[in-house]
Amino acid sequence: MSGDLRGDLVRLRARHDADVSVLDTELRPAFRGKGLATDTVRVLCNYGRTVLGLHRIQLETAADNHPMTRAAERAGCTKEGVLRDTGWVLGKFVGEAVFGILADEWSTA
Amino acid sequence: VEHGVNGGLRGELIGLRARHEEDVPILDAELHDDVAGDAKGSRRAWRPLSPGSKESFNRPAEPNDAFAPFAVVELATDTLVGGASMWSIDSHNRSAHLGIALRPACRGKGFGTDIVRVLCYYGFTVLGLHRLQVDTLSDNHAMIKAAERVGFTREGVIRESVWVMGEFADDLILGLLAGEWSEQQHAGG
Repeated sequence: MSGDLRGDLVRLRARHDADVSVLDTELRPAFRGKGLATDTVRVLCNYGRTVLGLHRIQLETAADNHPMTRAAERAGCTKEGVLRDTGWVLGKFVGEAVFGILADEWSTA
Repeated sequence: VEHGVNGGLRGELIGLRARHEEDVPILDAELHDDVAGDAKGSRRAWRPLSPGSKESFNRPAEPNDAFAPFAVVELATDTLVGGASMWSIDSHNRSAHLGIALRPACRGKGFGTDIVRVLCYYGFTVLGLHRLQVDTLSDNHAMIKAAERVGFTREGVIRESVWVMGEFADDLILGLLAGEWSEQQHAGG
């Protein structure tokens, strides 16, 4: 199952596999640094909990992606681990931070 | 770890070989038909399987670029002790996950560590991977011990990520990098 929400400013993309739901956001370059990522994560969490009825949502991001890390933490996600050297990116291996948020942890406010 | 006579992979106690058709009824009866055990290991909802079902997870499958299924045999007796596999083999990021399942009577004999070690040899030396990952329930002490003995590092606990027989359970992720593995080999570990 997948859902696509498109707006003028941000594009939201959710991937909902059988067991694990992983959220993913990408902002157009001109719209970065405006606080939209935190809002995007919140809306996706609300979608996951309220519309889909999920128990857990997971967010994975490059360990050095500070804007995404900050957005995840601001939205109430907990950092659960850093998987070392998971991705080959332009000549080197980079790690990946994993965040999780459980149904009773996110607020709909 | 060295190559076996049939091109298989051998540790001190066990060897890995291809799955055979005659392994299937044994693994289905002893692993799949244990509902609670299967729920912990498979990460899927348990369903009944008829003998000979094509849906059996233990059925021999042709290996492909992303999946390498093995049967595990005890070298001393040439008996089947369980299954092992390398999955999500990713040739771009040069990583893969590994998993093992031992027949109930074959647990607690030190096979797990030996199997993980031979799988690492396969992943790092044969496939040339950079990273191997173990995903196991955080209360699976036997698997955690086996992975840590081979040099895996605990990297995170993915909370309430698996539904197991009436409740959500935590997954523990462990990782081992090629450099750590070869360092250990040179140290004679």
